[in-house]
Amino acid sequence: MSETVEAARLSAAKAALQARFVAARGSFRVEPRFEVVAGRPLALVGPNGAGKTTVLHALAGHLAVESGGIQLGDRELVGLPAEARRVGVVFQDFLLFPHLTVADNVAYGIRMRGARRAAARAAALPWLERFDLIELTARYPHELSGGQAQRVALARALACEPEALLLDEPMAALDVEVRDEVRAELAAHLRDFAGPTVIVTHSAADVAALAADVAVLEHGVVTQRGTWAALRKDPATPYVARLVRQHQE
Amino acid sequence: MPPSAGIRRGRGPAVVVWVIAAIALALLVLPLVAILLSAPWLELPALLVAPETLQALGLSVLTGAISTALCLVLGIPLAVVLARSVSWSIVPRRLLRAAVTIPLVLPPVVGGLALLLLLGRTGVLGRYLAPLGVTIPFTTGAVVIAQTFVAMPFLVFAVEGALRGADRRVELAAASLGASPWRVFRTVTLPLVAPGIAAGAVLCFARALGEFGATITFAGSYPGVTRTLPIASYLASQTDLNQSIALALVLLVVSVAVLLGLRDRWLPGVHG
Repeated sequence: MSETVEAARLSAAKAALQARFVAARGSFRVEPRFEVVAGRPLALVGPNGAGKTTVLHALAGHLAVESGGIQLGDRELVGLPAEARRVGVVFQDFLLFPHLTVADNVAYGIRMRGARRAAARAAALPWLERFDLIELTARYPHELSGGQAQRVALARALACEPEALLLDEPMAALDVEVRDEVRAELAAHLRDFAGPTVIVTHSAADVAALAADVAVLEHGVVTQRGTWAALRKDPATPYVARLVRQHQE
Repeated sequence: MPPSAGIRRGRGPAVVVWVIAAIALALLVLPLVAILLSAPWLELPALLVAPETLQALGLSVLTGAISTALCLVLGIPLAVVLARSVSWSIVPRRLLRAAVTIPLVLPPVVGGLALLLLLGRTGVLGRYLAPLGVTIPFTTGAVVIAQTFVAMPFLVFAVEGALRGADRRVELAAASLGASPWRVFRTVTLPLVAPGIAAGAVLCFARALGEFGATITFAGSYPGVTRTLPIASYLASQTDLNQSIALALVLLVVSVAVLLGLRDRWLPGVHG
């Protein structure tokens, strides 16, 4: 593993993420309360319309919160614009820059932190290597498979050395046939990221493979928290019971 | 036989519609054919290099280029605001859209008169400029302002259409990667809508080049200063029809070149 990658692990190692805020999108309100321990990815699960993505956008700084706070390590994120939060985001459909090559997508965040084009490309190289993208560096996003695009999105987010990582339905944009393989790869990469990680999903398979802890969001509030094993043993709501059954089948 | 095979889809519109469409098309195309048929082809080279022609052509290209540049600088931010206005309440949103549309529906002569009343020596703003030694009407600057006035909507609507068609969520991705709003605009938004900007600039230039009414009202017709190609062509038509046709041909060639350079979806109205 390269020095850059190692340094990113160390810098993120001690941070934890605490969310305790109220945010609204139109008339819909979310009031999540949860904590994410570094090195123990949290799955934020819930039925459609429960507000998972709204919570994620608030954490990322794309949606202003009405009250409360978001603590990342010793920093308060509320009040900081998205570009100052150092929170990496992998979006559901990846949102790669369509006009940039894979290499420039991954180097983008490094450039935004002041590096010149050539220096940014050099700094992106270890990330391209690590995510097995070296042969794809000159390609454009529309020339990538879903699994490749996900690796680029992840490399792009991590190359900025974020202190926390958010993933929104990371498997939703992928073909069903490749999900198991890509999910296993993603799990390995998430284990390498030492900062707090939040994975928004409604899939029990994602929870089981990617997360250590679970927070269940229903109607904008957290209705159950715990490990996946604890949820399976004692589901607190009908939704959790259904989710647990979904994975057993 | 599939059940849909007998349905009238595929048969096309009725004959009456074809005939009327043909008349409409003839109305659009035949006048241009008439220009080509009446053109004094033998004298043409001499007419095209006549000093008056070259002077008017040079002035038109210069002012058209400056107007297009002004439309880009002023119009792209206006297009961004217009695209954002979808989230506003209905009254300001419609007022803004109406304001941008004004030059499209206003007779250019009225536009020129309005500019004169605003920026003329005794105009609403002009009276404050005159003591500073700034007089705008009947100068090359006035030509540029008149052209910018009439051409702006073409640029704004083309860019706005591109902004609406683009997936703006990549701007969120850029922000999360540490890009400030200005850098998001420069490195993501602008490249995303570059085709719309190019198309808008081409339309803008074509409209500026053809501008007549607002220019002659606000800027007059001084050779070498404000006498652009359309004005020169109109004046020549009063005295020397061949000269007028030669000038018109130049404008026609430029317009057709613009048209060929555009893809269908960027023409006004097509992208709806």
